[in-house]
Amino acid sequence: MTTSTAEVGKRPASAGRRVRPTEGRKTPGWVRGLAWKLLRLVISIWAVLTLTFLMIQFIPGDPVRLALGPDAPASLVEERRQQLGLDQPLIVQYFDYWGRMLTGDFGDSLLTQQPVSLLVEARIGNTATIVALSLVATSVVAILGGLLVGIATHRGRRPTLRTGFTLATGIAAALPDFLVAVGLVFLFAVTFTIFPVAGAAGADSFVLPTLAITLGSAATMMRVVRSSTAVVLDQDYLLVARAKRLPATRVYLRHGLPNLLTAALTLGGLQLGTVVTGTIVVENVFAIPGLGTALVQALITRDYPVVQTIMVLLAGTVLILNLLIDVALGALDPRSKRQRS
Amino acid sequence: MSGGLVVRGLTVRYGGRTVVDGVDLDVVDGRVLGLVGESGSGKSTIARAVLGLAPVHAGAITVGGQEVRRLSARERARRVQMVFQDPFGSLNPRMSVGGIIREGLEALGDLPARERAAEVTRLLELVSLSPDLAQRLPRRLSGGQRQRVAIARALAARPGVLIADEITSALDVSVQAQVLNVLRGILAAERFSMLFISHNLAVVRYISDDIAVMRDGVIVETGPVDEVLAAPRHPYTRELLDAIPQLHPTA
Amino acid sequence: MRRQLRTVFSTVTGSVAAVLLLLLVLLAIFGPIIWSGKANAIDVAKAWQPPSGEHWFGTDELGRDMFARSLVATRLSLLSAVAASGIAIVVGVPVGLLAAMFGPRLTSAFQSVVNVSIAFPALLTAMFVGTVIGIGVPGAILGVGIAMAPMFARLTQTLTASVISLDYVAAARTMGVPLRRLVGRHVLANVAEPLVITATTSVGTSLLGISALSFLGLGARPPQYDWGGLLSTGLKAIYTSPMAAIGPGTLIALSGIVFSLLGEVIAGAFGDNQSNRRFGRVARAMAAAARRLSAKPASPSDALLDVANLRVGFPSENGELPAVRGVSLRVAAGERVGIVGESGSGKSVSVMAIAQLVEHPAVVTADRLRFLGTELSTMAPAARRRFLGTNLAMVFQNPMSSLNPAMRIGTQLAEVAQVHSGLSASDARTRAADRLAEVGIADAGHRLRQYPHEFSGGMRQRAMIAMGLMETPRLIIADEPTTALDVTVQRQILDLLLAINRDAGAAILLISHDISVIANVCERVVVMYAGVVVEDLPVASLLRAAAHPYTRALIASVPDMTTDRDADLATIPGRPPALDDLPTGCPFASRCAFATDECVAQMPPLAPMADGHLAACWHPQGGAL
Ligand SMILES: Nc1ncnc2c1ncn2[C@@H]1O[C@H](COP(=O)(O)OP(=O)(O)O)[C@@H](O)[C@H]1O
Ligand code: SF4
Ligand SMILES: [Mg+2]
Repeated sequence: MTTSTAEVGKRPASAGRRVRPTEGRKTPGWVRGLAWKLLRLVISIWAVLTLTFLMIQFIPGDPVRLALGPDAPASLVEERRQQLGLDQPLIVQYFDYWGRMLTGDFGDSLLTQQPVSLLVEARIGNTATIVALSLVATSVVAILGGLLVGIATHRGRRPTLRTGFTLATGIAAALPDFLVAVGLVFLFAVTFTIFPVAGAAGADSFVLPTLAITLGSAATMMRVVRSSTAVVLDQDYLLVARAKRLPATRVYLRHGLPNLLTAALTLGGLQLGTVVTGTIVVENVFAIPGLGTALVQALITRDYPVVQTIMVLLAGTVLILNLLIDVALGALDPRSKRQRS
Repeated sequence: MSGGLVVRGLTVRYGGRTVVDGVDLDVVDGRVLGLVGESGSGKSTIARAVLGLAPVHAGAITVGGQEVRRLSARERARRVQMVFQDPFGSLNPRMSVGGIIREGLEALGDLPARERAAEVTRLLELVSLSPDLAQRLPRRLSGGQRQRVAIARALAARPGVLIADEITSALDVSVQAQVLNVLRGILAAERFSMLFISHNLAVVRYISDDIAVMRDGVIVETGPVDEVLAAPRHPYTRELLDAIPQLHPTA
Repeated sequence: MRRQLRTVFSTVTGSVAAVLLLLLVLLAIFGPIIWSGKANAIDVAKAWQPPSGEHWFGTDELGRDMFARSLVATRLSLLSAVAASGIAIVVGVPVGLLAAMFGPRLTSAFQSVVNVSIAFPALLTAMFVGTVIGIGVPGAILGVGIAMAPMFARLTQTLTASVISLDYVAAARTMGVPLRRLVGRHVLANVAEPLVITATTSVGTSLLGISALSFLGLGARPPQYDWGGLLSTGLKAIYTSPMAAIGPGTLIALSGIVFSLLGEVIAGAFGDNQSNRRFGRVARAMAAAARRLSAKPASPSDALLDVANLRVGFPSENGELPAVRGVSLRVAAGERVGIVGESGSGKSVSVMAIAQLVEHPAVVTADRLRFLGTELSTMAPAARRRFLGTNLAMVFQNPMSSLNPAMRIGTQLAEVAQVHSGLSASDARTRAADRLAEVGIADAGHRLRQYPHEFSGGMRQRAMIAMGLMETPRLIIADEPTTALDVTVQRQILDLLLAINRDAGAAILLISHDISVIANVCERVVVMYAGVVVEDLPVASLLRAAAHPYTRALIASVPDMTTDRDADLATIPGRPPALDDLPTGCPFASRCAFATDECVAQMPPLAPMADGHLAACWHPQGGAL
């Protein structure tokens, strides 16, 4: 892949920054990019595991005594200490923790003495359903809505729509998921009784939780998509596409959309983490037996093995999601294949 | 204060990439050296290296016989000053014109506080600006006025060497003429030498005594302007000369 | 600053947000003093009462008045939110500053860490901190604060990095300005605005985050209570006494909105905030006027392009800005015409209007806008698209941004022929390869598969020209096609345009601010100033017979390789008039050495000077330059 023309590497006066010449690369850029992203994922997962491990060590005083309360007999406290391995040297505990987390043996609950893996098995389905539905709903609504409104309001067109959009999404984005959830409970428990407001029995019990998470996050992301639409529509290459007299659909979908998605994903991707943790809140409002309700319960009762496990699972989901976004970005933007390294 | 700028074997690298490669330059005391070349050829990097704004990999840079990298920031400020290309980026938008010029005087601390206002007035007049502009914020000035403020700021230090990096590239032609005239006037009135960087050969020819032609980090030809332009020896210099669109027919 | 504050309060949102904020602050100060007694009065007999005149929000499980409790909780809710934001700022800003001030390697390491932690959900971070230091108000505050710190760190780092790279910081360093002052005066002062905005909105974010934690039972615990805690109490009674949840919920929502509104209002005041309504009115009025004006009779003409009395206006708060004010222009088949003028003189807007590419909200009118004998303004859009797509090509100033970065060069070229000539994808690619070769790009087959970023600036401009040649254009409009390029590359591109004109017979309309570029390429030059054509003459007579003082000054002020180095350059004093302050007479009068009262009073018409030479001046000058 060499270039013979003498002009390669020259730049116009306006571009102050230097661009590396393209010749002489061996590994394809995207392979290196992917390897780099995977490395980052591994490091992040290492950090999450280490921090959740250290969490117990950081707690001032005796964590087990704190968990069991001042009235628990000393023998029980000692027994639980051993169960957690707190009597072992730190380094042994650390490798033990890794071994357990990687093999899916998350230890036993301090409270119920049941294996945490059983709890996870029983509850992960509901949580996964809510998270997946919310992710899809958020992305679809935000991208479609943001794109359409962005085109419709470009360059001061339809000022009323623009104002309405800013106001509506502004309010929706400022409403936190737990408030929306409570509002929905109120509406559907008191006024309309179409959807169940508690428990997870049947598909329709996921409608309100998904709605509660999606409303705010979709509004936030939709704003991002709209403003990146405006930016992309102002780019010279879109003017060029019009100057080539391409049909409007081709101008917007073929020339606009991929560039727009790059911008929207970069910023909107940050939003997806909150979608994942949104489930913690809405599960609690709608009394859904999932990982979120279990996590909050465990936090209050200081059931450390459960807390560690669920935190690792949720954090891992977020990290993998971010990797996927990164990969998608790399696929959308040919420049990133080279520039990431 | 006087003393020319001498650069020997200057090499600048950014992350393993050689941007300036063993450059020798002589800005002779009291003369103007024009440095031409394409964008990205390394002109600005030389300027930045002289001012300690770019990492020097090898070489020597002396002003008036002193290695600039061994001077304190204040000492260096007295010897070399620079005017930048972008008239919109080179003035702090939150400081008044007077404040911008005064800041240099304060940093040097040569003048007692009560004489500074008079000096600001003198400098503004030197660059053909009304002293009334001292109260204004940069955003209320035109591009040409801003560049003249930047020149006044640089001259506040009474430097031995002034570096002007593409100072008229962002200006319209009629404004470019104003700035060039101001510069010529100051060169006649005050004694200092100048490194004048531009991609525009005609502008360099108009303002300079000597010329250096740069390409890909290397000086390919240097000498007195008249000689180099009348009888270019390096093929690249000839290519540059041929490429210039001419308004007036040349002999 | 004062002006900006006034803008803040003059907007409705601004005043609403300010009033609500004031109310919140007053409640936080006086709420606990006034209502503490009532809020804590236990009366188990009155547990879970529905709302009533006595208990607006009803009562809780111990019969305490929920309304009083909600008001009292304002102080704890607000204070915790402010404290959490404070922690985030105190941790984040210095970290971001340090990362930006030290070398690129530290910066990139920092960015990796911060990017991961920003994408990491705040709720999990807060829960983690809560577990470690214990569940309660301090844990929630610290947790939310730490969770938000990376956002401040990144914002500070990117802002600082962009300010540091500006020339005024470099200039201050070369002046020997001390570091302390450099950071304070030049860096912090210029990153403060966005930081203040973010800090404001972050208080709302903290408030919501801490409320969420309390709501889940992970924040304030009895006897302490904040809105989040009250909300979860209220949720228990949602069937019997919904106000117990709705009350605190509304307060949370309201305060969240107040802070995000405040942030937006402050941002709007710092940025230039235009009032949309007046703008819209001007736009509508102009569009209506344009409809009345169009539909003038068209006189037949044999020119390739024939434009008469072209006007383009941009609606603004101060009424219409007339960027182009009656431009008339003809281009014959195969002719090379140049338009020259300083930036802002209306060159680009004129040709964009001719090419039917001016966008909303600009309004275009013309007595005649004929291309290849067809009036463009009355053509049906679909037919016009096809007509211009095959007959008109355009090249723009910045080749770096004119090509779509996410599409291969080949696709961008081929699609033109696919759309307009109905070629198959493979035929279109073959044609694209031919055109790339024609504009002098070697190894065209391979180049087609590359993306724009793999091309140099000169090659991109060649590719743009090749794109224009995919059909057989009769006219190529090139707007400053070489301004962003080096001289040697400029020469090549100009030569290429000349070759296309010679070989394919396409006429060329070349725009440049550089009169010598025009003189080298064109046969005729049109000089524009302040939205009007002031002179129109053959290039051959430019030096001999230019008559308009502006044209003459333009020529005299450009140094070229023959300029006398011992004389001052000619200059033009002052600057061009602003569009919202155009004089009634000659627009050049305030800068013209020959101006008389007549010039100030009346606009000179574009009048014939000699054969093929027009000038708009009451006192045309003579003699060679
Ligand atoms: N979208 C716009 N809104 C308002 N004014 C504009 C817009 N585009 C251009 N103008 C104004 O129109 C005038 C002519 O601009 P332009 O045609 O770009 O000049 P030139 O190409 O000669 O440099 C300028 O004063 C410019 O500020
Ligand atoms: S009309 Fe008058 S003011 Fe205008 S250019 Fe001619 S002489 Fe000058
Ligand atoms: Mg233009």
